Amino acid sequence: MSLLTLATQSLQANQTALAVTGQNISNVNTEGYTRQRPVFLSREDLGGVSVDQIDRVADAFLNRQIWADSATYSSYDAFKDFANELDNLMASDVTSISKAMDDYFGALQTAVDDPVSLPNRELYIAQSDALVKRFNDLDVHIRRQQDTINGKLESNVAAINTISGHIAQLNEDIAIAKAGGDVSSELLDMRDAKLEELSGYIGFTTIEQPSGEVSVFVGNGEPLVVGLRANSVSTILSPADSSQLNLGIQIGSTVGDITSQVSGGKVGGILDYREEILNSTLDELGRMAMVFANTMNEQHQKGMDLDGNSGGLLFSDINAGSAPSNRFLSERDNLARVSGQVIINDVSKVEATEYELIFSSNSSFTLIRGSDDARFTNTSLNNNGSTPSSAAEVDEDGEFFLDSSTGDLTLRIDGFTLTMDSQTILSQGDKFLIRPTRNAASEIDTVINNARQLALATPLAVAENAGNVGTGVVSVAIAENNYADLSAVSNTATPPIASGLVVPDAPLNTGTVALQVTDSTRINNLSYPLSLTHTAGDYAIVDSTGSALAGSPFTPVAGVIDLTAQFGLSITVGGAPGVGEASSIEYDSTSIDDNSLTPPLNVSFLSALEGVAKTGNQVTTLPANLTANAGTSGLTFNAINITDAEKVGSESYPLTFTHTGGSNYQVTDSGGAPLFVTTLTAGVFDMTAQIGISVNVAGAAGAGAFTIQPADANQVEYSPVFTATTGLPSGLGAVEARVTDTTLVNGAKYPLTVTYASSGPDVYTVIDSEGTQLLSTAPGSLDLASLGLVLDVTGVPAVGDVFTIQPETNANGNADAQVTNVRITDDRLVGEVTYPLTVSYSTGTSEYTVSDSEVPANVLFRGPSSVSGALDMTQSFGFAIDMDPTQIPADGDTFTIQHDSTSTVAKYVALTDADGERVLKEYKPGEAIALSGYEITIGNQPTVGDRFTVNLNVGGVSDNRNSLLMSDLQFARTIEGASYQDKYGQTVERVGTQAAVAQVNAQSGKAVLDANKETRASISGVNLDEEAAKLIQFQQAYQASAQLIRAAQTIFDSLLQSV
Amino acid sequence: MRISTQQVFINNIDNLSKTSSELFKTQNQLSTGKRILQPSDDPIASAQVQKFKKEIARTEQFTKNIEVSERRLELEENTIDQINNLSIRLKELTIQGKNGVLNSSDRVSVAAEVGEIVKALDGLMNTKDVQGEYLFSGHKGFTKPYEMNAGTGRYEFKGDDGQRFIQVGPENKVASTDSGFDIFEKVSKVSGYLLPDISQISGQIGDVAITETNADAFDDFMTKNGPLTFNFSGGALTVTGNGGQVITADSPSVALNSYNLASNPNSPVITIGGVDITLASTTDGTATLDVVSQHSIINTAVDLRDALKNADVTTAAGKDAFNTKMDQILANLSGIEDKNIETRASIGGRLNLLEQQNSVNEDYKLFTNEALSSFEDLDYNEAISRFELQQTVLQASYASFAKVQDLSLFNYIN
Repeated sequence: MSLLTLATQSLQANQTALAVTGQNISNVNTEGYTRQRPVFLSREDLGGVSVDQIDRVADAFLNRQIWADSATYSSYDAFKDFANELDNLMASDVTSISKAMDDYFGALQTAVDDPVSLPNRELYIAQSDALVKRFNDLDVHIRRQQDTINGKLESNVAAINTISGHIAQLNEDIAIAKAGGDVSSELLDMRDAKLEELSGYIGFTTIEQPSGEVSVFVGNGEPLVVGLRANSVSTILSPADSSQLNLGIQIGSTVGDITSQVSGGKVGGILDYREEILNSTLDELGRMAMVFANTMNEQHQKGMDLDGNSGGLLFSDINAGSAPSNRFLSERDNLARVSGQVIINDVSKVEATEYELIFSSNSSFTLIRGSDDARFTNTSLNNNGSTPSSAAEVDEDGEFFLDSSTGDLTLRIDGFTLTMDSQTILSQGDKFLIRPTRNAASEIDTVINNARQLALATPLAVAENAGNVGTGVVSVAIAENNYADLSAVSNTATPPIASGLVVPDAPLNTGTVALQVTDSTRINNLSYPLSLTHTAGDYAIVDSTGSALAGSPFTPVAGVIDLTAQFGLSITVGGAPGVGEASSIEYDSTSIDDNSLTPPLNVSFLSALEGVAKTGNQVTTLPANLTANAGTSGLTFNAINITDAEKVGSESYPLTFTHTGGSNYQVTDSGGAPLFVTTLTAGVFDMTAQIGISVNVAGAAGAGAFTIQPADANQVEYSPVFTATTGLPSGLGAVEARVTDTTLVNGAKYPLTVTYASSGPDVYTVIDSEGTQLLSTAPGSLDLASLGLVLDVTGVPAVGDVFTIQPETNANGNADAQVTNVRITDDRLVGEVTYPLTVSYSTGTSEYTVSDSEVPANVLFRGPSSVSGALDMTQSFGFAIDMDPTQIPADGDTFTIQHDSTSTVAKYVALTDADGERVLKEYKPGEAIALSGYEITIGNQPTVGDRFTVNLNVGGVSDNRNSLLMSDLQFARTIEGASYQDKYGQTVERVGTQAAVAQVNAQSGKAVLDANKETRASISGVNLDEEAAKLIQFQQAYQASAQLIRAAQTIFDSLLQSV
Repeated sequence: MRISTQQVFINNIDNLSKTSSELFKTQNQLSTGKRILQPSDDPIASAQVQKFKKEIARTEQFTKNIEVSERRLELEENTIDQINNLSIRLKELTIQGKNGVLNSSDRVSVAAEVGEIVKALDGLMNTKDVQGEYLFSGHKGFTKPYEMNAGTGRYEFKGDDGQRFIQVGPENKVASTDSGFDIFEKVSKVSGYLLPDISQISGQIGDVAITETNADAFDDFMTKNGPLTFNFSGGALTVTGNGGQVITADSPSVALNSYNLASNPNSPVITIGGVDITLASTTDGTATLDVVSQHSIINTAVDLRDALKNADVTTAAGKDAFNTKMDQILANLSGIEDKNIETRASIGGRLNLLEQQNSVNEDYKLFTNEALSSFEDLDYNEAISRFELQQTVLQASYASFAKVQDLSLFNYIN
C-alpha cells in the first residue's frame, strides 16, 4: 500500500466531505432540507479511507408525527376562523337578532302606551320590518359562509390533487433511483415536504413499501396515492342538498363520497364546522324565526284592530307558500320519485335539527333525528295505542300511516307532519332529508303594512254591573284566532242547539218516542217532566203541574209532533202504541253543557254560599214555631227565633229551664236529663251553639222555671190522616175515614159532617164545611169517590148522630200538610235563592206559595202540588218539595226549607248569551271557563246577583290588552323553556364557546406542531457554526492528505537522490 | 441541544410577531376601554353582556312608559279636581235651593247656575287628551263618553269600564287611565233615588210607579232579576228576568208565563216587585225595564236643575216631594264627593307608585350597568401594566435578536 495511494484516497474522501458540507451550507435556508453527513470508512484491504455513504440525518417517526400534528392544527385553525366570524356576526350590535328584538319590543311598548297613536303604530311596523330584515340578513350571511366553504373545498381539492400527483411522481423517481442503487437524499426530502404540505389540507396515514414508495390513505383508508398512481379527489354535490358540496374520491371509475370520513387538515376543519355549527345554527335561527313569527301571529290574530276587525298576520304564515315543500329533500339517487311537504303543527315542539328518513323496504323505514341520533322506526312508532288506518287519522306526534302499495306516507313527530306523495312504491335505500326549520329565517317576512290593522285591542270587553256588591272580577281571554271576525259571523248565524231533554228508558209499551231539541231557547218554557199519553191516534201532553200543553192533544204529522214554534222541541212517535200508553219527557239539565255562547254574554252568579245543597236530605224541614210556657219564671216571652236550623230538633222537647242563680238557667230535656246551662244576657238566651235557637224575653232573671216546646206536637210525631169525632154521644156507631185516592183527597172543603138522618131508612148525608151535600146514601161504606175517600161506618148509629171528618189537626188547628222530602233535582241551581224558604198553603186559592227570605220576600212558586205531590221548582231553583199526598194541607200551613251549608260544593255561574241560551257553569276562582273561541276567568269573591256582561269591544280603540299580551311574549318561555332572546343568547354562546374551544385547540395544536418541528430542526437542520467547524475539519484533513503526498514525494525524491 | 441556524431565525420571527400582536391587542383594548373586543374573546361573558344590554334597553323603555303614564294621570287628576270643585258648588246650590224662603224665580235662577255647571261638567267629563282620545270613555277612546239623551235630558255613559294598563316594571303593570264607569257611574246608592229605565219601541210600558216607600225593595228586586224583559204576544205577556227566569207578579199573583192579559183583574196594572206598572199598550213586541239607582254627578246636576225648575211647593205633597228630592240629591252628592276623594287617592297612589317604580328602575339600571361594565370594560391598571410588560418583552426581543444574529463562527475563521 503506497502512501501516495493513501493520500489520494484521503484527499478524495475529504473533498467529498467538503462538498457535503458545502451542500449543507448552501441549503441552510431550504425548506424541508435534511442535513447530510459523510460517513468515512477505513478500507481494510488496502488501507486508507473512503466516504462510504452520505447519511440523511432524518427521523421518519418524527416526520409522521409532524404530519399528524399539522393535520390537526390546520383543522382547528380552519374551524376557528369560521366559528369566530359567525360568532362576531351573531353578537355584533349591527347584525344581532337580540338587539333588533329590543328595538321591536320597545316599539311595541310605545304602541302599548298609546294605542290610538298612528305614529306609534307605524314605528312598530317599521321595527317589525327591521327585525325581519335582520333575520333575513343574518341568514344570508351564514349562508355566505356555506358558499365560502364550497369555494374552499374546491380550491383545497385542487391543491390536494396537485400534491398527490407530485407524491406519486416522486414515488416513481425514488423507485427508479432505488432500483439504480442510490436514492438521492433530495428526492426523499422533496417527498417528505410534499407530504407535510398535504397534511395541511387533509389528514392521512402512510405506508412505506420496500420499493421505497409511500402509499397515502385518507378517511377510513381510502387510497389517495398508491405507489405510482394518485387517485383524484373531487367535489360532488351533496346527494339531497344541492347547495352543499361534498368530498368524493375517484377509485377506478366510481366516485365515493368520503365527506363524513375525512378528518384533519383544512378540509376536515371546514367540513366539521359545517356539520357541527353552520347547519345547526341555521336550524336554530330558523326555529327562532319560526316560533317568533308563529307566536306573535297567534296573539295578534286574537286581537282587534283600530277598525274593529280581527287581527291578521303580522308575519308570513309559517306553513304558507313553498315553505312546507322546501323542508323536504329527496336524494337524487332514490328510485322512488317523491314529493313531500312538512307542515308545522306545534312550533313549541319543533326541534332545531335535521332528520334523515331511510327506507329499507317499501314498508319499513327509519327516521334518524340529527340532534341526538334518536332512531324511530315503523315498529317503534304508532305504539301509543291507536294505529291510524288512514292519513287523516294521523293526528298525534308519534303516529304515521304508510300505504306501502302507493308509497304515500304521513308521519307526525316532534310537532310537524310529513306528507309524502310518491309516484311509485318506495324501495330499499330511498333516503330523504327533513329540515323543519332550516329555511325559516330566510322565509320570515312582514305581512302587515297598514298601521290601522295592528290588532292591539281584545275583541271582547267585560262590563261590570254598576250595582255589583261583591269583589268579583271577570276577565276574558281570546282562545281562537280571528275571534273578532268569527264572532261577527256567528252573531248572525243560527244559535247552536243544546240538547236538554231525555226520554226515560220506559217509553210507550209498544210504541216508541224520540226527541229532538229544535230550538234551545224555547225549551225552558215548559214545566218538566212532561207526560205524553197516547189517546187513539192523538197524543196528550201534560206538564208537571198537570196542565195540558196549549193545543194538546196533538196529532202527529208523519209521526212527528212538531212543537218547535212553541217549545223548541219535536217529538217523533212510532211503533204501535196502545191507547193509554204513556211516556214521560224529562228535563236533563246536566246535558246542557254547551260552550258555544255568543256574546253579549250575561254572567251572573248563582251562589256565594259556601255550600250548595247537593243531594238528598240536605235541605231539612224545621219544626214549626216553638212556644214558651212562662211557668214560674216570671219572664215574658217576646220571640223564639231559630238561629241555626241544623241544630234544632235533636233534643227531646219540651225543654225545661230552671234558674240556678244569677242569670243562669239549667236546661233539661223532656226526660229530665240536664243538657247545658244558658245565661240571660241583655234580654236574650242565645243558644245558637247548642240547640240553634235564641229566646228574647222581657223581665229579669229570677227564681223559677219555664219550658219551651214545639207549638205543633204533630211535627214531632207523625199522626194518622183523619180523625172522625162523634158529634153526639150516642155511642152506637163509629165512622172511620179511609183514603182511596190520594190525588183527590185535597179537593174537599173540610171538615165534612156526616149526619145519620132521622127521615128515611138509614140515610147518611155528607156535607162539606160550606154546606154542599156530597153524598146521601144508605149505611155501609160511604164511598166519596170524587174525593178519594171512603167512610166506613160500624155499629148502629142513632138517629141524629153526627160525625165530623176532618184532617187531623194539632192543638192550634194548624199545619197538617207534611213535607216528606226536599229533593235536589238540579244541583247547579240550588243556592240561587235566599234561604230559608217558606212554604205556605192557602185553602182560599188551594195553592202553595214558596217564598224566599228576602225582605220583602219574593214569591218563587205558586201552584198546587203535582200528581206525585211535589212542588217542582227544578227549572227555577233546582229542587222539588215532596208533599205527603195523604195529608190534607190546612189553610196557613207553613214550612221552612233551610239551606244546608255543611257540604261545600262548587259555585256556579249562569251564562246567558245573545240568543237567550242559558248555561250553568261550575267555576273555581282564577280558573278559566272555556267557551267558543274565548274563555272567561272569575276572580275574587262575587256575590249572588252580581252581574257582568261580556260583549264585543265595539269602538275599543284605546284598548291595549292584546298588545300587552304581545309584549309579554318577549319574556315568555316559548323556545325550549327560554324566551326568544335568551335562546338567541344561548345560540351565540354555543357558537362562541365552540369557537373558543377551537381556538384553544388550534393554539395547543400549533404548540405541539412547533415543538416537533423544533425537534426535527434540531436533528435535521443545518447549523452554520457546525458546518464552519466541519469545513475547517475537512479542510485540515485535506491539507494533511496533501502533506502526505508531499511526504511521499519527499521520500521518493530522497530515494532518488540517494540512489 | 443542537440548534439549527434556520431555527434561530424562524423562532425569533415567531416570537416577535406573537409579542407584537399581543401588544397590539392590549393597545386596542386601551384605546376602546373594552375588555371584550369581539364576542369570541370571551363567549360566555359576551352572552351575559347581551343579556345585560337587553335588560337596560327594557328598563329604559319602562322609564318612558312611566313618563307617559304620569302625564296622563296628572291630566286626569287635574280634571277630577275641577269636577270636585263643581260638586262642592252643586252641594251649596242644593242647600240654597232647598231653602223654603226662596220663591220660584229664585229657584229658577239657582237652576240656571246649575245648568251652567251641567255644561261645565259635560266639558270636563268629555275631556280629550292631546291625541284626541277621550279620557274617561274606557277602551272606547274615540267614543264620547257622556252624551245627552234628548228624550230624558239626562246623560248616558257611552264608554265602557276598560282600563289601560302600562308596564312600568318587570312584573308591574299600572293603570294609566280610569273609566267614567268606575269614577262617575259607580257611586253609592241613595235610598229612594231610583228611576225607571225603559227601552221599548211600541210603548207598552207606561207609568212605573216607583215611590219613596217601594223604591228600595224594588231596587233589590231588580238587582236580583233586572233587567226585565216584557214579551207581548197576542195579548199574552211573558216577563223574564236577567237569567231568563219567569217572573212571578205580586198582582195578579201568577207567574207571568204567557199570561193572558185579558184575565188581569187589575188591568192595565200589574204589580211586580211591589211596584205598579201600568201597561199602556199590549202591542206584540218586546220592552225592557230596568232601573237606574246610581247617579253620576252630571245626572245629579240635571236632576237638581229640573227639580229646581219644576218645583211645585204650593201643595204640602209637592213641597214634601221637592224636599225629599233635594235630600236625595244632597245625599247623592255626598256619595259623589266620597267617590271623587277615593279616585284622587287612587290616582295619587298610582303616581306615587310610578315614582317609586321609577327609582327602582333607575337603581336596577345602575346595577345592571355596573355588572355590564364588570364584564365588558377594561381594567386600566391591569391593562397598562400588561402593556408595559409586553412592550419590554418586545424591546428585549429586538435587542437580543440583533446580538444573536451577529454570532457566527464564520466571523472568526479566516
